[in-house]
Amino acid sequence: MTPPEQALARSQGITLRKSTTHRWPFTANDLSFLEAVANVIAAAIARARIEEQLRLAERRTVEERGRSEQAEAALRERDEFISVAAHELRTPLTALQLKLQGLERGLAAADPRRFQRLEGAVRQTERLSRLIDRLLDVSRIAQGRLDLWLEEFVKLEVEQERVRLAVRDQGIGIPAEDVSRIFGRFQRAASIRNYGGLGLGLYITRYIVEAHRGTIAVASSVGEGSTFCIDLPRFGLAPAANRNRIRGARA
Amino acid sequence: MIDPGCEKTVLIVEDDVDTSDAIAEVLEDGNYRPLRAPNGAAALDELRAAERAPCMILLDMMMPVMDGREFRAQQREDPSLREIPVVVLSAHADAASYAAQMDAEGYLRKPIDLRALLETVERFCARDG
Repeated sequence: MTPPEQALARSQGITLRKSTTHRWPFTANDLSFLEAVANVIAAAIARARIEEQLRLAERRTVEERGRSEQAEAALRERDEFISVAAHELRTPLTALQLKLQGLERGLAAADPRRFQRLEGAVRQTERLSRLIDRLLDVSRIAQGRLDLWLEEFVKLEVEQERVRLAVRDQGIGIPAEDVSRIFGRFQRAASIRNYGGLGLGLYITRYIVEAHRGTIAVASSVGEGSTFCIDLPRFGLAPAANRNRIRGARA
Repeated sequence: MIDPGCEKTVLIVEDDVDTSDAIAEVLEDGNYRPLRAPNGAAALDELRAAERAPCMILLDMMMPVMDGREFRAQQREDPSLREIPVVVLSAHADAASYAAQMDAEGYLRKPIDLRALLETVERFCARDG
């Protein structure tokens, strides 16, 4: 190819070959004219490609924004529901608790046996009341205190290849002899009398982390709290073999 | 100043009948004299018709017709009613800030504890000369 032809060939896929069957071979003028035409076309194609990419990017942004707005709206709705539900639950509890406490007060001296039975009922209404308090606390955390909490207790480090997430608590801590088993199924370091739960949380967490080719570890000191560190690769995720098993564990 | 002869009278402004009943029963047991109104508007009528002002008002927040906030605003605008102390009753976790916003004397969180209720009522009725 001649240099002008090579120039054409370089221009965004517009190529020109010297025709051997053509009656009139191209003159140098023809070629430079064609090169100019090809450059104009190439510029137009390049421009169209960039515009298409911009349009795609814009559409993706709009879609992502839509998704995150939807997610936020769903969260708001959920929190609103929890808050209203807790409020509605407290109204009948107020009458119930006051009536029982009033009866209890009157019976204390007069009828010790019935007083004792009523005491049980009062205890249960107070327990229900505490449960509702906790429910409302959870909804309040979700309503905006989460940011503060995240700032204080969660640290995120993003490196070129890895992401490290550290979650710190100020709990009772985990004794060294229990550290190796707490990521197992139905394993608990603390007595179920003092802390509720099935002993599945860390097991499920470990499964999810490992499914993403990551690792989870804990550093803890009794009485001061624990720090859980999750280390995940940023890229190159192969489909994990145990994904279905995680779903089973979550259910 | 509050009328010194409020005679252990307490106005309960509460739309839930069972809650209002329960508070009234407990107060009667404690030798108080409960008056009752199912919403803010009825409470204003009750207060304006009464011969003497109650020692205090127990005021629910969420009520039909006129809620606690609106009642409190109108009560504060009426020179004959504004001195009556108000204690807010609220199931909301922010009961304390509601009470502060409304310039109320105090608040009781629902579900109300009997002892807390009696202590609060006693505090305001004890002002009775």
